[in-house]
Amino acid sequence: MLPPFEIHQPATPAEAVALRARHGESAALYAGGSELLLAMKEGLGAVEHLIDVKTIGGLDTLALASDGAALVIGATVTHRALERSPLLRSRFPMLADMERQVANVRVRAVGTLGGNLCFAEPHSDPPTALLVHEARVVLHGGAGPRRLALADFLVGPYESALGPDEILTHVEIPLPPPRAAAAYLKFGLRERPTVGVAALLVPDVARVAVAEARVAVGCVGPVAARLPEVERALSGLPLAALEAGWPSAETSGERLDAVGDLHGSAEYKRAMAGVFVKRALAQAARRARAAA
Amino acid sequence: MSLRETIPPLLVIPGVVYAAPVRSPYAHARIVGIGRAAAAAVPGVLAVLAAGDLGVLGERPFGTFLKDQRVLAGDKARYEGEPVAVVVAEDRPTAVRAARLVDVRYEPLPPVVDVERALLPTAPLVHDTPPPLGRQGRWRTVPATNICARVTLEQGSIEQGFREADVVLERTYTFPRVFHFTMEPHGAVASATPTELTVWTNTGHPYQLRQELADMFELDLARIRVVVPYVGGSFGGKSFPKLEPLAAVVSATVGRPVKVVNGVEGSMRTNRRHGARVTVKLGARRDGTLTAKQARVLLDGGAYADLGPVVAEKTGVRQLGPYRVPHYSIEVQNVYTTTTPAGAFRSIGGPQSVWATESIMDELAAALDMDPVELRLVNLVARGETVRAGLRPMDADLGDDLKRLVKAMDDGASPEATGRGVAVGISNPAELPISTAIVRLHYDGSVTILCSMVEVGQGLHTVLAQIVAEELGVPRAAILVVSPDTRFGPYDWSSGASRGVTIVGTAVQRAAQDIKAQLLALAAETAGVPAADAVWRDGRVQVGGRSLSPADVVRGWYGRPAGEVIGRGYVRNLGADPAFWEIGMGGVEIDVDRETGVIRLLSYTGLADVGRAINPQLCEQQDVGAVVMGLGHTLFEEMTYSDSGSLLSASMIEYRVPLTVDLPAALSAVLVENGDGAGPYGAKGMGEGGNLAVAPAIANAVARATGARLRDLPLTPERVWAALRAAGARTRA
Ligand SMILES: Cc1cc2nc3c(=O)[nH]c(=O)nc-3n(C[C@H](O)[C@H](O)[C@H](O)COP(=O)(O)OP(=O)(O)OC[C@H]3O[C@@H](n4cnc5c(N)ncnc54)[C@H](O)[C@@H]3O)c2cc1C
Repeated sequence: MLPPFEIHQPATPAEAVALRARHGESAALYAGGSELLLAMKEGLGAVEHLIDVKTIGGLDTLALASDGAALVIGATVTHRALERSPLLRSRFPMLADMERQVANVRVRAVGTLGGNLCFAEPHSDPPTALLVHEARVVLHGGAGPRRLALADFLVGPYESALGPDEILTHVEIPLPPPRAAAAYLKFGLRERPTVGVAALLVPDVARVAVAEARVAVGCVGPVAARLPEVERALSGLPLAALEAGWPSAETSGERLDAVGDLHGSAEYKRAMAGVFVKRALAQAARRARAAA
Repeated sequence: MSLRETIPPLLVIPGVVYAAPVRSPYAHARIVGIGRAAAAAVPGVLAVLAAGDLGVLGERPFGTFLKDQRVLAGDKARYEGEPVAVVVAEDRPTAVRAARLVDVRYEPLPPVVDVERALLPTAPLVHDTPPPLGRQGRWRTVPATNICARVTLEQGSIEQGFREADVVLERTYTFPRVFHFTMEPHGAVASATPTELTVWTNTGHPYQLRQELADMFELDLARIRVVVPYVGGSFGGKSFPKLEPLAAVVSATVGRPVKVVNGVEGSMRTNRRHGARVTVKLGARRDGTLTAKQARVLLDGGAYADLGPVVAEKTGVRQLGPYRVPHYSIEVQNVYTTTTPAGAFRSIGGPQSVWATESIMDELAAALDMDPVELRLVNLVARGETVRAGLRPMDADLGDDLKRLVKAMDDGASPEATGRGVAVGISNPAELPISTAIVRLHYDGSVTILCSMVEVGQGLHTVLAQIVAEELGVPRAAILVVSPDTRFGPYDWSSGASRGVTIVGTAVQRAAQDIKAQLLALAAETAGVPAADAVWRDGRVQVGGRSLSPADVVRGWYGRPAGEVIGRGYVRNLGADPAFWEIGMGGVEIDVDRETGVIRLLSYTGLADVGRAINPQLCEQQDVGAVVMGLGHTLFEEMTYSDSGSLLSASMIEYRVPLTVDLPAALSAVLVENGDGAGPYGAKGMGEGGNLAVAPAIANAVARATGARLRDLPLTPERVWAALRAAGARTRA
């Protein structure tokens, strides 16, 4: 049962920031509400003011930046809009595919990318997938906007680098290098994933070997993270070998800072990270070889 | 409108107020004080009540089998989520919000979360003093222990039986605590006056509830009115008293009608299925003939007895399985723990028992190097053979049923399958076949059926109308089945145990036949001919050369369009107990992802031996539905408690039930109709049996596909993965 609250509908980031400053701890930024309202119904926190970020102009953008070098996604764009976006599907097919697998359609219809990143629940899909795209977040605070690499924004479970007076306004995703192909795989039995793995491979010109590899694992540890050692080991490997299943991948989760919970033991999660790194690499390699 | 706001909360009762429970955050704690001030100060709050504020009604224990529960915990809370106080307010949001402000002070006590530890001499006692027996109680608690009920079954000499065996296996299997998850959570509205009590509720047991309330309020049965609308699912979770005593006592205390409703999280704190730990020892000769069985079962009953003693008793019989076992010794203990109380759940003690009995049959087959189906065929009891002395002899052809199941599986075999498994379940349902029915034939030819088994979605009301249509030749559309209201409707024992069609159906059939007999007499009297001259043919009365419809007879006798004919049907037994054996078999084909431990279900074939499928579509859907429910405890579901007794999977986000994506690619039910049941037209009951075979069939298939034997449910990918690694390690060693 929702407690009573007052809703504020700012038109600009600056207004939202001012509202945050005015109401402090008793205020919460409100996007789709799919997490926030659940928590409020449970009686967690003492939220009396909701600051609706959906009324802020420009936060529903989903377009290429004017210089064409990055995709810009406004914080209030829903998972459903991303999943169905022709732009995403053609330019970032792995992200569209990942978005299609987030939660269920009811949650996707209201849940926003910004809400997902700011809630910073470790069992999430978008952070992992965005990490291999080297995404940045744009935060707006009293001192104006600042940009941060997503990897620096993700701090820990339910913890981001968002300042007390800031809001997230946009996510920027650089266009991937030519020929790059990516895959995202998630695994789990519950509402939220047990393991999420994203792999992005940039093949050489002949599409025979790996020129650059990016691999990220989410849900296993406190925050989603890239696997630099695995990425280095992949460099130069033949794509055909990855497509057939790269045995070394199986141990790639071994060093992860895994946390045992209702989803599974730390040991199982590490093992599954390895299995899905292998499978995601195979899928990305197949796409990298096939792309015309 | 959210689901929790539907029946019975949809009812508009003038002057109704809302009671919101304050739930214990501790699994076990002494209640040392209740701070009411902050909650009481909220505008709209009428009262903040703890056990001590309810007078004698707060002290009177209830419980159909053991009177061990009070409407609010008084001296101590026995599970996390137990109501320790209520806030009564003019509207529900106010009550819920104010409930958070009640400041209950606790002195935590050591929790009892595990059944085995609950039995240690040093274990803290959940109930310090032995509770009195309830109205239907037969088993007492064992004083100074946490044993709520202990049941034993013996035959022959197991020492001798095991001596005669060539192979003896002993294994332990565990079954999780699981939640019913009905679409509609519990809800009740009560209106108490000094001389009458009315309760609108989604109970499955209006008449058991009536008795409990009559005892509590010291009122005659006639003064207790229980009204039950259509119910959004029960699966046993709404059997026996749940929120009704609380609503009634609060209403008596505040002098207003009171509504109490659960959300799904509240229902998770209200009732669940018994977890089980079953250690079974089985002996057989080299040719597969069973010689002896010993089983020791610990049921995790949670904080209050509810139906637990009966679950223990049924578990005892269900441990025997459908096999000829000359020597057996079975002990079942229902154990109190400081967790959510366990009660009735679709085949009480059935899935827990069959999980063990049918897993060990396959382990035995492997040890004997025999085909698992063959091993079963060697041992299945034949028609007419005794399962357990004193009970109805087997009334089905189990061997034929099993062969039909295997044939159906062969016919639809999947080329991708790497393992298949079968399991055979039987249960003795239809407890206490006591029911009554009233059928009213109106002078326009339409019919009202009054029966008191609750329509919980099982489709019973459809079938009762079919029975009356068949008997009276009245179109199905002209028949209305009325939901229970104890003020007007006839008595029925319970809505459970697969008893509807067989027992309530017989009562309704008898009532319809009573109408037929009356119509003949009335028609003869109207025509002035001897009674024997009126005959029933093709749904009409033939008398004095005329053919009269039932409505013609009514109008003719009363001499005008007026009056009605009332038929009554009584059932007190249908021969030996149980009224029928419920047969639930299942076969599954699977493949296992060895890297992740995920079990992929390729096909599941259920078999129900229903005697006569009065409504084949409903039968199939009941069987398939029970299978899908069984997939829950088999693959996903578990109410996980922390060591301190805190429920970790406390919402439907953490508690995973089967989804459409989990269904096997092929899912079907074979209905066997031999017309050999004790119910109308040879029908037997069904609806629970589909649940029985699921877990062992799947575990048996996993063992056959991979060599890894799993003995703990649910078969989560991690468990399968770990078992595969262990099996791999053994092979390498
Ligand atoms: C049943 C269920 C299943 C789910 N399954 C998955 C899954 O499989 N994978 C997955 O990745 N996720 C899953 N989720 C999470 C889902 O993606 C998030 O609920 C959703 O994206 C959050 O978005 P929202 O707009 O509803 O956020 P809100 O609930 O509105 O907000 C969430 C938090 O973010 C803050 N916030 C919101 N917008 C901003 C902003 N612009 N700037 C700063 N702070 C902000 C809010 O103050 C709040 O603390 C699931 C959620 C549910 C309820």
